[in-house]
Amino acid sequence: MWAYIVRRILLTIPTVLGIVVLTFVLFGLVATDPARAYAGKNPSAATLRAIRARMGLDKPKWVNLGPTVQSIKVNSKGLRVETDVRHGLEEGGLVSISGLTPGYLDGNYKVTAIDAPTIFFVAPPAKFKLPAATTTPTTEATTSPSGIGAAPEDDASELLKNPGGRVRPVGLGKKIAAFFDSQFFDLLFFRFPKSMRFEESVWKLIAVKGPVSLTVQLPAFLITVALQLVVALYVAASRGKAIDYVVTVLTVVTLSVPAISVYLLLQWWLGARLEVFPLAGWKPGIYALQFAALPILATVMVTIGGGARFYRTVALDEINSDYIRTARAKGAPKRRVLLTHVLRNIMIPVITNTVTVLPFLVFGALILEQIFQIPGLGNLLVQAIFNQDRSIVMGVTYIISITYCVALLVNDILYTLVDPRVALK
Amino acid sequence: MRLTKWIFFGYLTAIVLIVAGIGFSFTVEPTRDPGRLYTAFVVNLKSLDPAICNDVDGAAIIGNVYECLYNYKYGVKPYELFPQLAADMPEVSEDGRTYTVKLRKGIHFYDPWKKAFEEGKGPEMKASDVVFTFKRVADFHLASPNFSTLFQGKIAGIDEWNTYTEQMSNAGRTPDYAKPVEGIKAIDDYTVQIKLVEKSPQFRYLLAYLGAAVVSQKAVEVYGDDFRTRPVGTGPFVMTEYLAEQRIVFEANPVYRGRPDVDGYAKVADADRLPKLKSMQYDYFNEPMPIWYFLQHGTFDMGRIPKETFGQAIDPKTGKLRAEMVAKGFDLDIDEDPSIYYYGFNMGDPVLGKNRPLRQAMSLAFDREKYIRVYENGRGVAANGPIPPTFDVYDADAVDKYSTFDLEAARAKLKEAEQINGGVIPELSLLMGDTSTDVRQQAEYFVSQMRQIGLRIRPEYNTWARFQELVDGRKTQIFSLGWVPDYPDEQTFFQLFYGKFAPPQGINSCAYVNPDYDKIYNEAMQMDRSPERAKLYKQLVAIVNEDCPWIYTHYPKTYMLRWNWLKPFPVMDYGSGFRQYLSADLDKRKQMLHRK
Amino acid sequence: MSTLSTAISPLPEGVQAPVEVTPSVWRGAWMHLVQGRLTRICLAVVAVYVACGVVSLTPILEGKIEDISADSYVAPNFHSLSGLFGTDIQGRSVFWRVIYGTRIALEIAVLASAIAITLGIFLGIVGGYFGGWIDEIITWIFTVVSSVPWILLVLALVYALKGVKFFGRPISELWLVILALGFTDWVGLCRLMRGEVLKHRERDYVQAARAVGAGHFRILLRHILPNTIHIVIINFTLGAIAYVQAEVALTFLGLGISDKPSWGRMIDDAKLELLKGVWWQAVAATVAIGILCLALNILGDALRDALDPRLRGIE
Repeated sequence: MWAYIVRRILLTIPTVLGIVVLTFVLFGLVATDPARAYAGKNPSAATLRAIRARMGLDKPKWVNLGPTVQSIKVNSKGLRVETDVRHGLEEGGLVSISGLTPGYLDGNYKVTAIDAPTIFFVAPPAKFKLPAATTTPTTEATTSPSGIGAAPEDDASELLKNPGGRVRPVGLGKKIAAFFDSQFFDLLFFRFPKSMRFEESVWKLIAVKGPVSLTVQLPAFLITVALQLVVALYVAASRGKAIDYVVTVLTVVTLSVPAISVYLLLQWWLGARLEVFPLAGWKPGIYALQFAALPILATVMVTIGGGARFYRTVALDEINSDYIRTARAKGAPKRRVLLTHVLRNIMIPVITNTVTVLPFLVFGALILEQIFQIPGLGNLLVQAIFNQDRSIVMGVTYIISITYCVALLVNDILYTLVDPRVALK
Repeated sequence: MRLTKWIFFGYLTAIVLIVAGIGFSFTVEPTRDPGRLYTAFVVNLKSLDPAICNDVDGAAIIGNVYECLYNYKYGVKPYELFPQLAADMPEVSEDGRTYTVKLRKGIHFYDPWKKAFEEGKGPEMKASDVVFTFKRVADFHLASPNFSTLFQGKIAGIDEWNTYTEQMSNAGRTPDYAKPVEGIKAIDDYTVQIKLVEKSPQFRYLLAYLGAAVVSQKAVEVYGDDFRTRPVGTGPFVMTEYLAEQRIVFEANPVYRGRPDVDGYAKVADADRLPKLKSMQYDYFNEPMPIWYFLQHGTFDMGRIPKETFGQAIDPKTGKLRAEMVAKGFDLDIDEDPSIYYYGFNMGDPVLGKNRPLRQAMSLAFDREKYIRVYENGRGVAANGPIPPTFDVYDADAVDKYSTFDLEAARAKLKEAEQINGGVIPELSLLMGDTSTDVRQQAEYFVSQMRQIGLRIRPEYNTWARFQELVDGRKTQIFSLGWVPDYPDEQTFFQLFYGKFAPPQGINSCAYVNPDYDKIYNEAMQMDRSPERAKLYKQLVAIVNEDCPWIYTHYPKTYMLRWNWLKPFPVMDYGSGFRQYLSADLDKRKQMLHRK
Repeated sequence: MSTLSTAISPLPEGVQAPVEVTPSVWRGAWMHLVQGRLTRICLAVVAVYVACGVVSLTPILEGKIEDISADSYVAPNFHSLSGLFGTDIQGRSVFWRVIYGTRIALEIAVLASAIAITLGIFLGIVGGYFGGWIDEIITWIFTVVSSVPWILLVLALVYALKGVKFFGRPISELWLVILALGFTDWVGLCRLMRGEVLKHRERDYVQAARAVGAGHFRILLRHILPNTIHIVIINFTLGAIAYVQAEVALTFLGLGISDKPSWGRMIDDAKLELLKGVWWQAVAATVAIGILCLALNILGDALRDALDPRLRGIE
């Protein structure tokens, strides 16, 4: 059994990796550049660059092999290297540069100063001699930001342009750290950049919005399950009677009408026409329940059908099972049999259902929260999709999916603990 | 067995509690502070930092705390500047390139959290703060969207400073703010000198733009990243509560000078002291329906009318507030917005760009009156040119022959267009920058209008980000846009047709290039407001009207619903911090709400 | 819960071996449908919808659905067929647009199903039959896909495909929806098929076929597919319901079909209309969807009862 549990946990790892890849490809790679939308009417190239840097979009996409060398120039202090993207190298650190002219390949160089997004200086190790051209004396030490714009005029010699080499930090730990400094690994390791629209971390947003979603979803879920069980048991007990047909057809009707229509029509009828409930909105504190009432009702109406039908089938199987027949034959009263034996045995699918649904209770419902203007996570996600708020969309999708995976895992393990036969399958 | 029973019992209790809780929540009335003004805010404020905020609604909120050197006179139209933090209007040199601004004395920052300044009251605002503010807007690390609107390419040396900060930011260092920038100098503690790259009569308006509101260097440094939620300003209010996405509360600033247009030491009679209301609360809703609901219940003191319920509030026949709304205690303020909505043509497109009659035909086939009636609830004026009302050049009676609805003329023009095109006009694409229901219905209207003359249009709906990408890349044919001006000078509209501003690096979204236009534009740009300039502006309008790079649709109107315990409150389209003038009869409100 | 969780709630594991599906079972199932009064009505209802869809494929309605000669928001009246369900904001007849919407709904249901079923059958059968690492990979793929909330997956796919050009033309909105739905919704069927094939693989008749030297392809096509096809049929009826409703959700989120009248678009319009008292578009579209889905639901249940009683209770 324990072997099964361990195996089950290990099997989750490839799934998580798959989820990251899928999320990243769908929401990260093909999405439009969000910087432009954020920047307003008429942004400059510099503003766009600044915004991209803050969104973490200037990092390499998958892995960071180190920035590609665009050109290398030599001056008195050392080599001036131009690269294509942000390097993430620290001042004073050691780097290796590949792709230099012969004689300079893969040497270790010391970064003495970093001056621009893509330009920095590296001092060659002592054993290398600089080409003759560099002996030309230069006036200013370029290690300090001497003037506005880092384009010192003392570039004595140009070694090569577009050599296609790369700059990497030296040292295994730093190399590994740099390798994982990419957009993909940011997602994998939950390093979400701040949401540009809210200037807030994704976790903080979840902490603020999650409880709001839960205020609607949890009561709705509890009420729904209770009603589903009552209906299922009642209908199963009166199988074949008129009430069975009526309720069965009604559950099918709730499954057939689009949820959005139910929300809209309820909002119009109970909110606008009869003015029983507030139309839409939210207020913190106890008043929240006032605004949650109609969404709860709507959610119950929309979700009750599926479960009721499922539990009815389960209940029927139980009622027809041998031990119930025996109990009934022995003269146990019908109600007692239903409420104790059948209900207890129905609990297993109910609990299974609950565990896997729990993550989604926190994450709310996209459309429901839109229509009733509940400031929950579902609403946040829809807004984020419209606004191309990458960190929220990718972050929240990833978190939901992982939570769901973990819920399934927990569910399976619980199952194994309750019923060890499962592990043998 | 026991456990099952307990679970069962616990479950039932939970449900009973939920139902009871919901029932109870309907019986409690929300508590309200009788001295506080309640309104909604509709944008999610990504930041309370004026350098970051670049939208009108956000500016209206942050403007309660921060002040600019100049501001617009409250309730005065046409708009007029007055010196707010500045002591006087700027002294402009002969060549129009050097601005010398004297500052008011005795104005202090106030930090309600008492972290940047121990007493709350900070040091006096001085010229160095102004210089710091301007440099900060241009700081790469801040990624301020206002930089390009305000200073880029305008102030001498500011672009170099921006490059320098970019290098520092990427090196992970803090830029040295002591480094001089040629164009912004503190001559003494109360004098700032600004040097421009070239003459620009509009620059004074930018000094009244909230993005350039003066911040305190000390507060910025103390609060660091938190500065965006900790506004420390000189304005009439201070923020006392901030719940992101929920609520913002302002209280009167205890060290405020009493009026925006006096020195810090000036004596202001108590009766004249601003702000009139000592406390304000903003609640966040990004959709109009909840606001309407709360407005009806007196929870909000004023708010806009959503499209959906417009008919409940306004009588469509008279365009006035319905009698029952008046009886309930509502008043209506209508304001003509100085903005315009239009359909732009991509002038680089092979079909549209070279075919003026085609553009004219489409403009003629668009029924503006019906559009405004059906889709805008009559909240708008049919557009007759690129310049909206409230500007000198706008003429309500002018008739643009291509901005009238005339199907006959449109068909005739289309025939001409087909000749130029050498055959039937192919299907054209219409790009929309939103995917909402409103926008979809508007696009459908455009499509059916063009179908009347036999043109086929295919609408495409995109997110705003993608929309801008496509427009900047000139990968569109027709697109729907609007323009809200930054300052009350027609130039803010005329720049949209200036050849040098064509995308990808500019705001001339339709990539309209006309050497005649550019010549007059350049000439007019060097001129101060005068009848001669107005003449040139009229010429510009005539050129654009004839060339039809846009189909003008309408100039919108704002309808603001207000409980009549609030005194009338004119809508200001530029500037900030006007809530300080708002006054209310609080006793009347108490009575009226009690009666309900 | 609703959209998010119902869309991705997991299938209960452990579907057991079905009865052998022989031609007589098919005949029995058909008789079951035709003889039941309720199912007979449902069959008729679906037939009417299909007829409406076919009519809309012809150019007969083209003029009627875009006719804007009436005023906007005329209430339903009995003066003419066009005015039966009133008019929309542009003054177009809601009646004709509802009829035309059938076509869009059926197109989406049929074409998205075609994609999902092809993918589901292929991957399910291949995984179940060959087992080994192929099966591992396929299982991994559907576990990953089913972990991401369905509606988000569909949204992302629509956005992703929007920029793609197909033979120099952008993909039409209708196809965006179809592709996004089809390529995300094969998971459930794949899982079921895989489970079924796993069981059939070890059955005598498959072993016998293998013994006489039948190739993999022949075994799959001639023996295993016919014996598992009933799952596909049941899945199709239930899938169609999901697609019709997903179109509504997608349109509501601004990613549906805008150039042709669809039911989702009418319900989306209602968002702005109901509070003005304009209820007819919403109600007409809702009833149209409700009746179709109700009929399909009942038929699906009946089919399931007839073909495979053990699948009951699985959504």
